[in-house]
Amino acid sequence: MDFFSIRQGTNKKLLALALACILLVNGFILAKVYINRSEVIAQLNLSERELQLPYNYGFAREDSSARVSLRWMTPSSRKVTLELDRWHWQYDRNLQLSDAHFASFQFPACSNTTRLRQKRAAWVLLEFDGASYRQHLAQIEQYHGLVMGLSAQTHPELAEQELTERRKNAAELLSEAQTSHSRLFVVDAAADYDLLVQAKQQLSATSRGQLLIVPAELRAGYYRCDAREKRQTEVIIDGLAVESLYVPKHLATRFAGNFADTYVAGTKAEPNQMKFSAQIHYGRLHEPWIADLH
Amino acid sequence: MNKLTKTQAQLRADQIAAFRAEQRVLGEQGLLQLPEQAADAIRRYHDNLLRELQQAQDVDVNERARHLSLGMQIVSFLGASALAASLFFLFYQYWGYFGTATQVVILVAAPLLCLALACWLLRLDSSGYYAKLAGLVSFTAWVLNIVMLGSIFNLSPSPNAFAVFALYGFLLAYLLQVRLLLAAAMICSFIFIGARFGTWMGSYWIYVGENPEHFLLPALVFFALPVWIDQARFHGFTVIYQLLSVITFFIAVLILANWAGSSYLPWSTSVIEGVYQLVGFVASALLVLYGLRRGAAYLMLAGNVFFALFLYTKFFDWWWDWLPKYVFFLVIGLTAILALVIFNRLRKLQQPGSSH
Repeated sequence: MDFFSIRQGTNKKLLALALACILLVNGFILAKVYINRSEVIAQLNLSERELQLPYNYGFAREDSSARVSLRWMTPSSRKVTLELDRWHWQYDRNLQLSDAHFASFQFPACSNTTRLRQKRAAWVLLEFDGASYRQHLAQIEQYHGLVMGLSAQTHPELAEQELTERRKNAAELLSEAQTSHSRLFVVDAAADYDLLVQAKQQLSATSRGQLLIVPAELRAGYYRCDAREKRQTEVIIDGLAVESLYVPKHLATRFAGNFADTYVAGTKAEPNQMKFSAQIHYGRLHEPWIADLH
Repeated sequence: MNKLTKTQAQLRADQIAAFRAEQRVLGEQGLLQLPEQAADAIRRYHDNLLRELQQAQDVDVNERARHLSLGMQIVSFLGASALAASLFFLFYQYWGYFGTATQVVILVAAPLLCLALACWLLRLDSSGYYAKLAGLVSFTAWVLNIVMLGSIFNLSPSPNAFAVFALYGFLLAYLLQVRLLLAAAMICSFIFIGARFGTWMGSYWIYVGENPEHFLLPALVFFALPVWIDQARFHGFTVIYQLLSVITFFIAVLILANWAGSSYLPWSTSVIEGVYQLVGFVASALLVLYGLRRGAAYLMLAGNVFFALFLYTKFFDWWWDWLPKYVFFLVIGLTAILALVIFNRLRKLQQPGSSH
């Protein structure tokens, strides 16, 4: 058998393997999708407050598909003072955990000099329109009250113009909290799924909101080794495992004139001003999909 | 003749060209005058041999053909990149207009059709350039297939995607003899193995790049692979395996030698950095010696470059703030001259007739 007949034999095997690779991997992915969607384990009815339309960073003309991103927050554990800024209320991703839940991540001891802020795969407990959102509203109302209580007599260091600006910002913040802030909160996290199942059962007795456990990624908080800060069990939630949801064509086209135009035709609408609601299903493998969109 | 690989066939063609050039010079100087009949027989034999080699392995029979060949390689690389980008944007441009079932069919069919095209082109064109182009587009379609399926079904990101990219990349690389695909498959393997190590060490896989130690073992395995499994039948594969492994290994060591924070070793920062600096110096020096022994110029060059990098980063650490800049650069210049002297001695040792 010469070199070329060996080559031909090898090529046939390689070709067969390449074909098998494409078909088997696709089969596996589609089977996984089927298993996930064969049972709905949780259902959330979210609105534009929780589902953000991406701006596509100038890519819209080239991308005809439509996606929405889950927008969520973490409950604030900081004392409400005048120093808290707008960023803190909307973009703070810190979360205080119980000792047991924090320990489940087995972060390196603080005596280590390296690798103190390792990232971890995690399970997080989501709460939609529950106690955490009420607390968020109450805190912003308290902040609003503090700002409205400012006067030139009590705070002579503040000029009248600055006072007016602060009051205006606080009023806007309160209005946004009531009408546009996300009501979806990450309220707990653990490395062990069963720990969160227990936490969910306990919380469901008191929370009026919908509760759901989903995979996520997080890291230890920046101050966990700083005893003065008293934030040793704090984590930073980097993101949910699936945050961006694809909008299938049959749902995207329902928004003819606004939603679909933004994407399909690539026109420049103001995505954040669009009002819509979506039914999000989570399947057996904790992966979500958009079941309906209005 | 059919048993020659492309590398061996090219060497044989080069040998014939060198023989003819030397014969011409010797003839001009009157040192070699072959009988007309013998010279004709040799010329005919060589002409036939070159024709066979060209037909069988598409070798370059002269310098001009070699330059054109290099040009074709560059053009085919650019063409493949442009076609891959075109395919990528084509998917995105019209994606939203298709229903889910159509999208799945298109995604699965794209790499299959490109693969069929590559195999068909391989039978038509002996040079294989067009088949290689189709192979690269098939690989891009495969990556798009997996990424877009994940995207439309909102699947959790997984490092396993890189394993299947690598698997298909390796299969295509060996099927169509494409070095670029071999490099792509190796990079995907590095990411997959690194991500898996990261997961086993408790980290989240997506931050694979933050832990250079994950890449050390796979780099060593890939470096040794052509030694264990002969790659002579695949033109240039040994170079890709070893060079990419060396680059990955030394970049990882260079990072660890300067930033111990990314190491798993349970020692103090200075000890970790010191250990990796030592590893960097010793390994790059050993690589130069290994390259010298195997006659592999690319390994010697890589070893030299990384040895110099380790040396100069160390010099920078020690002396940048302490020495006046003119003295600092003088020291750098003097070390370069010292290296030149050492290499010159090594070069002389390699020359035929050297007394050492």
